[in-house]
Amino acid sequence: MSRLYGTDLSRREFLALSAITTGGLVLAACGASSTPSASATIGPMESNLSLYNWDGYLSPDTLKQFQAKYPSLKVDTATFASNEDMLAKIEAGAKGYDIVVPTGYMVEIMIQKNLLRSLDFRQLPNFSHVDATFRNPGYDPNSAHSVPKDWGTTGFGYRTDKLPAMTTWKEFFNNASQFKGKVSVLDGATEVVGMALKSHGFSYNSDKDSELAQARDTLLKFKPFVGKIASSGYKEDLTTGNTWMAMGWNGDFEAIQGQTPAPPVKYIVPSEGAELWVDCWAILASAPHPVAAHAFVNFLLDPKIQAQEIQLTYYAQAESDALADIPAAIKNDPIIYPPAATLQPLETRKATPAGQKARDKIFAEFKAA
Amino acid sequence: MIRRPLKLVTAGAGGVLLAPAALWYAAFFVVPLGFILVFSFLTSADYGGIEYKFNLGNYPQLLSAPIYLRIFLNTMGMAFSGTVLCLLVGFPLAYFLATRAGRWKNLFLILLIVPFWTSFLTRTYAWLILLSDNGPLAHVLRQTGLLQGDLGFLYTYKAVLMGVVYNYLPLMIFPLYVSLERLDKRLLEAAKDLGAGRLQAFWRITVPLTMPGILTGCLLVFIPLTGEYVIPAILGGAKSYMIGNLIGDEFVSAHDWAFGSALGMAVIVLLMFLIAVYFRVARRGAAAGMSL
Repeated sequence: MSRLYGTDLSRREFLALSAITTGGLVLAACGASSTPSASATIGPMESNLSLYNWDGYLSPDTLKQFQAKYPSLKVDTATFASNEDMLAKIEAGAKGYDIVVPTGYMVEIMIQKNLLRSLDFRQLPNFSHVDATFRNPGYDPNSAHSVPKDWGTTGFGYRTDKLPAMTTWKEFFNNASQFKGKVSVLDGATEVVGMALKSHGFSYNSDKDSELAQARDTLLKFKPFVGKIASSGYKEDLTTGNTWMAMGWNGDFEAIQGQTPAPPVKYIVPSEGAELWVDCWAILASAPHPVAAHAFVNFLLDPKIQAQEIQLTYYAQAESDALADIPAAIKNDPIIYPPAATLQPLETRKATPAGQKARDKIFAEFKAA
Repeated sequence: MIRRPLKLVTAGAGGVLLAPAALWYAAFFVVPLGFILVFSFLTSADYGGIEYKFNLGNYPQLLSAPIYLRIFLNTMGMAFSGTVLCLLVGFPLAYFLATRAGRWKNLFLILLIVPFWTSFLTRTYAWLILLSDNGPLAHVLRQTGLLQGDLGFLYTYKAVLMGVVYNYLPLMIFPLYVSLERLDKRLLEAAKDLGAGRLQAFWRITVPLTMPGILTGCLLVFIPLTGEYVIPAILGGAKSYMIGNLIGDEFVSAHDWAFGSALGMAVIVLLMFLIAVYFRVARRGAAAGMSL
């Protein structure tokens, strides 16, 4: 049942215009209740909590259980379409949100911009369940501002009934000429330019002009055969056959394969390597309800809740303690928990302003070509 | 002595009538436009936002790479083709409504408006399903043997033009209909009496006299088309990247607010120039038509 459920929702599934339609977060009245708190130094629990999350990225069951635990708390949710979209809105002064879900590289940017609040670990006892590998990530030293929500890979999938077996980004970019219009890529400068860099064996985060120039050439040669540039809808397009090959996130491909009948779609993490990303829970510096926000983050770090979340998102969790409660079909699935050999060449995204500018320019050219 | 207070009274009443619209436009048009103008001369902060540092570099950046020029040309080309197609499809229909529809006229007019009862987005997404390679249209065509293989229509420039005509057609038809409706039919009879053929009467009487409707319809379609963002994004796939999409990306994905503002100003200036030319040509054309 949860598998079927998962096919309808996705981490990054959204209408292109959701940024506009969900723009108005109704600011709930912030009358703090007088519920006494456990510790004297921690403020009293507030009466509201406001989440700003990707669409379909939190199990309704989890939310229900959280509300059952804190019945006096009123929780509202708004959704965003991309990290950039979220940042733009927070920076433009959107007030009232407590919790956001940035990807690792965006955590780093938001820390630089003083948009995130330092976490109070006295209020996060469940942080002890987080695996050591996720505790001191490059994007957030000592996890001072974020805790891992889940993680996954960015690779590509293709229709096995239409195309021969593939294992590399080189094939992704070179074979496209044989099936013009049937290829889609994510609508993200970093992903698209990064994978072109990878196809040449360069680092995903390369800032070298000569390497970026080669990636640009590859992309401009590849462009005539691209049917669609979008971060949503590729699941449907692969399922219906509008698209035969698509760059995307592993959980989405897991969801495709969970459909009945399962379409003949195979997901691979190319052998040159790809992006490994970690999405995080973080509390905004401007959060009006920090105590409730900590309570929420702590609740989500409960291994039992983590095991529940994975059955919605199909993205791997950062807690070994949760594995006991995760169905075998999920924890033994190499798409969700790839073997060490697959993980080894993966890179996380590192943000540098100059590198980002170069990528944005190449990507604009790619789109207009 | 008596006139003065009267004048004052009417002036006051005029002010009251204008005030709501004037305030609205000041707050939601002039002020934001002012921001865009100012931003276009400032510096973008890393990852979004604006640094208050004077910068003349945003406009030259427009000319620094041929892609920006190409996006402008693509957009103008799309807006122009869309407008011409709307006119070609809309004129006969408006003509029919104004002259042949008889007592069904009101029904037809209502039918034209009915699609607007559904959200523009929903209707455009519906085309995604209809035009899909395995959608209903492809299915019917395959059943009748008219199609082998894939339809290949979705995510092409053709699909964008189709979406444009579908969505903008009423904007063209209504002004045309109003002009055609007002056309004095006796002039056509007179032309006939004086020996003009049907075609000649159409070109020398109907077209010049309905020119105001044609001009209005074309403007109503062309101007919003230059900023069209949704149809290319949904139906065009990777094949049509318009100036509206570029501006959106500069603000949201690329975080270059200053350059995005400069792009916005460039579109406004270009449109003002095109409209000025348009009216000049149209007036000359009208004058020439009168002198015939």
